[in-house]
Amino acid sequence: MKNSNLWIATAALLTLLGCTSSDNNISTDPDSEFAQNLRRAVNSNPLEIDDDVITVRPRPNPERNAYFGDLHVHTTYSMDAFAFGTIATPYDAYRYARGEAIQHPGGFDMQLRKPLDFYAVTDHAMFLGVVQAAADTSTETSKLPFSKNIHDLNAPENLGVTSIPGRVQTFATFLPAMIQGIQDGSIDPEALEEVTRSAWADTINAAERFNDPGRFTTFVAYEYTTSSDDQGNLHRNVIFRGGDQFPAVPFSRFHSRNPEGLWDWMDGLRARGIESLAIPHNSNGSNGQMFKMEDWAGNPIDDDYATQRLRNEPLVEITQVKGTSETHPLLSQTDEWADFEIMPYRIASPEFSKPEGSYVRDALRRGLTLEDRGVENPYKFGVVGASDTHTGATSDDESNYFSKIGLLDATSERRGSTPLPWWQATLLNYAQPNMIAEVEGETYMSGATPTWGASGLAAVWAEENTREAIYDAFRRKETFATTGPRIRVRFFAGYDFPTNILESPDLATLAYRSGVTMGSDLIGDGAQAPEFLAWAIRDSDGAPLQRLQVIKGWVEEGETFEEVYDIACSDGALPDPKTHRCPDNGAKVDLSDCSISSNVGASELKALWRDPQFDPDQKAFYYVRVLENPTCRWSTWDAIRAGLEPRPDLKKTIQERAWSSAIWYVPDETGDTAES
Amino acid sequence: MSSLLRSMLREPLFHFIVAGALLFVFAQWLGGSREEPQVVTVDRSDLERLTEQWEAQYGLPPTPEQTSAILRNHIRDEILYREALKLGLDRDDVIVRRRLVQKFRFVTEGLSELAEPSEDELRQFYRSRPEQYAKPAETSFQHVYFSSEQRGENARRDAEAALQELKSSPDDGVDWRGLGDPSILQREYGRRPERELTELFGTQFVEKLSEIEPGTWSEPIASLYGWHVVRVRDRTPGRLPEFSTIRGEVEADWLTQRRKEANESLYRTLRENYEIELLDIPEPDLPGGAPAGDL
Repeated sequence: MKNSNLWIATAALLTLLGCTSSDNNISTDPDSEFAQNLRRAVNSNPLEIDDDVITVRPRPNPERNAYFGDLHVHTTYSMDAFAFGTIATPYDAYRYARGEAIQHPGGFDMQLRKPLDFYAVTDHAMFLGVVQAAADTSTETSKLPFSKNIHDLNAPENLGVTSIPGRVQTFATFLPAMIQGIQDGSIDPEALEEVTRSAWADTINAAERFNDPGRFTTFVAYEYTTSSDDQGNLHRNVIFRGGDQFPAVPFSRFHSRNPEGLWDWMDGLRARGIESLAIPHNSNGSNGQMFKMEDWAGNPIDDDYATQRLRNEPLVEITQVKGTSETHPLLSQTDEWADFEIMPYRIASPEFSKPEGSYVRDALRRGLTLEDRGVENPYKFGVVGASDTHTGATSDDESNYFSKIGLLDATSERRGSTPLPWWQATLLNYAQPNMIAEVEGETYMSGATPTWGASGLAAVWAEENTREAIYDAFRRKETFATTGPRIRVRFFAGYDFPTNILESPDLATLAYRSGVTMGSDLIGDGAQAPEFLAWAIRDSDGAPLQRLQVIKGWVEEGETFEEVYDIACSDGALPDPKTHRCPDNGAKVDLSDCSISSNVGASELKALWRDPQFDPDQKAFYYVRVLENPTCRWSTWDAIRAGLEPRPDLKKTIQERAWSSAIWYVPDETGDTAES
Repeated sequence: MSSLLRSMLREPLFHFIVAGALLFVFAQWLGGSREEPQVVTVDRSDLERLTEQWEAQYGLPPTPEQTSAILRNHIRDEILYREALKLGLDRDDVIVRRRLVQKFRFVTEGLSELAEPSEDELRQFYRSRPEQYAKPAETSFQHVYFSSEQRGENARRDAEAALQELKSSPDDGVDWRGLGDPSILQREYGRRPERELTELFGTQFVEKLSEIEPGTWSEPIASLYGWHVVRVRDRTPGRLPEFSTIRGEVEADWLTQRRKEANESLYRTLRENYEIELLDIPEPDLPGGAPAGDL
């Protein structure tokens, strides 16, 4: 071809390409087709396992095994989690529980050291999925006036520290504004319910997909979030046993602010074959409302209230990230270990929460008081631990603590363990002055966050790892709680344990046969004094055990009392018969690197114990507490990693622990035997 | 023809001008002038698609009235969409941006799915990734436990004594379940992978466990709880399942891998057309000391 022709041809081609109008190529592919395709792609992988490849499902163990899990996990569907930057979905959460790494909004990976046995995603039913929709500027929800400050909240550019005051603001104002809008009619609750329905359906789908009987159990669940007028926390998580039916919409604060409404709903579902239970948490932040002696209306608790409550709430959370609710130093002045991870505020409020009526041990005592007055006991619950994570991932390892509220506590500065850089301090001083504190010349993040901790886990004794077996253990209250380490603890009470039961390889079988286990009633046998059997082993990854304790509460002439007894010590020591205390085993923590004493402490502790103050006519409860040797608190780990001194006004070490559910001693010939 | 015209006709510049003019007209015909009314075309396939969507959502085909409404809405959307583009509303909107990226990825991924793997390719893929498809080794064992806490220094000695008892008695004459101390952990485990056993008993126990020959009671081995006399019942070695039993999984993985590779290579091609300029920000630390140009 001649040069000029080639030139023209090239010019023609280039011009053609350049001039091609975009009009004809607009495909108005609406999002829905695209979304449909995407949805199809996402849902197209069934979990089918060839028979050949499947490993044999472990046989049920009649002596029961310990299974560990978390029943309190929030993902991006929770209104607050999304505001904290969490984009983890329920699917991500279950993958995390099985041991995979998932992303924290702060950019790093989170991964468990050991997979968990069971997990339940419990997003807030109220506004389920709504904040996520409000932030998505293509939805109707995002057009509501107060959605504006949520737009693009979790856009990649907005995940830094400067977004924090805005996020806190969002959390504080969005909710009340939404509620107001619904009440005054400016928001169409139907539209919101649509969002909630689809988010709930997705939650169920995720749980069903990951449930793997024999190996990993999920529960369909959610959180019912309500509070008293004075911002006393009354939250509880609703866990469904499973099956082929679930409610279409979870009962939330919109349906009723009064937990009794929730229980009515659960009773109704149960009558239709849908079994569930609820687990209250953060009683520590309830300002005495969680374990009142009155019902919602202010009337004294009666049998109907008590039986309905216990029927629906056989368990309570005794520990989680937002503090431990076992007891408070003011309520238990002779318990040297009572001051443990105390969170003194009401939830999302700088106000103090009153201790009375806010702690589990106190509640157990209140239950005895009610029984003493001839009323059924609503506070006869078993205990579990949980995390209440809002990142989709349980953070129960002090040495690897990423707390729970996503971006708001992703770094040590934001958690309050290391000083804030001057510009962050200034910014927060301007935006949220009650969030900072000056300690010995340094400015730290303050408020509730530094009081939080890496806790906890729920545990059960069940024959196998299936929904049915584990849920039944919940119902039996054969549950225990830990602050993170996988301490296994057993507890039995009985009148005629075989001699040398502690040495018998068949201990568990014999104990089940000749006694009752945690969560049960021990019925009085005349004047006979029962024996209590406690047994615990350490986590292979945790610290050695320091001591076994039994904590007793009883009622005497209308008043309740409590006592802490050491019943087994490490290193061959024995508890002092008068003080009921083990000698100090000398376990230490090296604060320069958080290493711990390796030569003291036990890998296993067990004891048979009799109550030195047993009175066969007194109603009482007994539960076991196991303490590890001291280890570094997360705030100390943070400081060490930053090369700084630990913050002076925070505890530097803690003793991780486990608690069993109680055994209730029911004296002979009592008319109102409170049965669970 | 006059010589002037002839010389003009031979002039390359003239050819070029004519060609340019022709192209201009041609392009106008293709692209349409900005001053003329723009055309929104709705053809049969569009209508079919819209009707299908309606049906998918409402379960029934639309009535004639509903169809008019559908058309009206579609046209309205189209016009507003074009106007939005003209106003540049697609810029600076993170959600739009993300959707476009998502869509680009989706669309380009679709291209790579054209390739169907051959049987050989799949087998090759499967053979080259044993660590991905291998099932971990599993051990089934029983153990008699001697607690360090209970027995202190004597735990090991007591374990040895029990071993002698077990070995000297005829087949299962002595019930192993009656010996030793009670264990909170199970005394018998069936087909558990190493990872799980390590979480329960600790690494030193599992290491020693792997050395024990199946069938007879072993010399005592230690865990952090004490000493154990172990009988391994069965050890299923880590195995690679037969290709035929996991063909589906392998195919899915192969497709994912192909897709990833196609995306990566497409991105590399696109990337070559771009120059990255970092203004006023420090040089990022890339792994392996790669230069910033590798961003």
